[in-house]
Amino acid sequence: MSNFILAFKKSLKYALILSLVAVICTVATITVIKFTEPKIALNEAIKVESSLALIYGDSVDYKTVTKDYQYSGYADIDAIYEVNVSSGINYVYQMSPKGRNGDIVYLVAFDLSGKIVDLVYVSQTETPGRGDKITQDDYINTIVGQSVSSLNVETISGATISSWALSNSLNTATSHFQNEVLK
Amino acid sequence: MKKQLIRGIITENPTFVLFLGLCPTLAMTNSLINAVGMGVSVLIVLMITNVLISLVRNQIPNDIRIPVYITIIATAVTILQYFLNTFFISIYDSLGIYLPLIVVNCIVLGRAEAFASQNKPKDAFIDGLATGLGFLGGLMVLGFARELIGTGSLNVYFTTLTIIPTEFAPNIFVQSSGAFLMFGLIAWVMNTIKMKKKEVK
Repeated sequence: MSNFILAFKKSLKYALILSLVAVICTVATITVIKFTEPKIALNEAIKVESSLALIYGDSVDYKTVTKDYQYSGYADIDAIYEVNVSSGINYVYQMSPKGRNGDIVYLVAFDLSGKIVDLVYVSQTETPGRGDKITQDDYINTIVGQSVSSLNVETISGATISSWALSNSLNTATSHFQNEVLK
Repeated sequence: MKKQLIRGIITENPTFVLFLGLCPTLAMTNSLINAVGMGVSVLIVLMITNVLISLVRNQIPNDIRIPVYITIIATAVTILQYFLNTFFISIYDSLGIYLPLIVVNCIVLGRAEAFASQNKPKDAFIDGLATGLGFLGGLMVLGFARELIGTGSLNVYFTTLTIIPTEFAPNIFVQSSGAFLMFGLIAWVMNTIKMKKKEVK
């Protein structure tokens, strides 16, 4: 019996020490999070603005509308932005499909008539000379201007995986845009 | 102190002699700047955790030391993660998942268990510095070689050093399989030099 009590006391002591360590660590972490959170949010906003600036130039009038839509069945959609431009409202999708070497992060902009307005890469690490053929202007120009309802993205030989990744995620973006946004 | 530094950086280099922490080593050395980011992060975490663990070494019962170490390491890494996300976003973005994975890096836990838990804070700090510098050095050598050969050129801030035109550079060395090849090559060269030195003696 006394053995049992001794073991119980020992466990209790250990539990107390572990809890104390955990509490101290949590307090330290929360302090740091409280201090850095506003700056991180600001950095995020700057990042969004600078990537939208790739399409619309500086001083973009945009709203993040990512939370307004459903995404079940749609993969790789990072964010959706509603951008006010002189010709009306554009919807910009940020997509991040898996490429050959890593995530291909790009923005694709649609207008309300269902046309692809622009496509720009935010960051990608596809193999130079092979996978990165998907970033060539000639190739992007075959996509820009197409209608979302009849999208056809060519596969580039030598950049098969990269262009499949792009084409699949573009299909996701266009069908999401038609089914959820345009409705 | 000098002895400790030599031990951490050269004779017991965590990357090329002990082969510890290879997961981030192979994954994060596709460019020199990534390697430096990863190496410095581990260096900072090692110094902080070694000192903290050394400070609490007499208060923590032997039976529960590992959970306490892991909690301390996890806290240090989380704080570093938020700090990087605030002030060094590009490094934060490129390190990605490997930053939180420093928590389970065997170098950090290994030095905590093998050294910091038995020595004074000052010695533990120097040990963290030495081992961290050894890791950083190993990563830099690998990152330097992989970026230089794999992409044919090396970008260090404003200057670009090109030895092979990009189109002809053996791209495999910046991919994951090339990490193994380059790592093996460098480890082979280093160990050959070491054995030659032994023979001379």
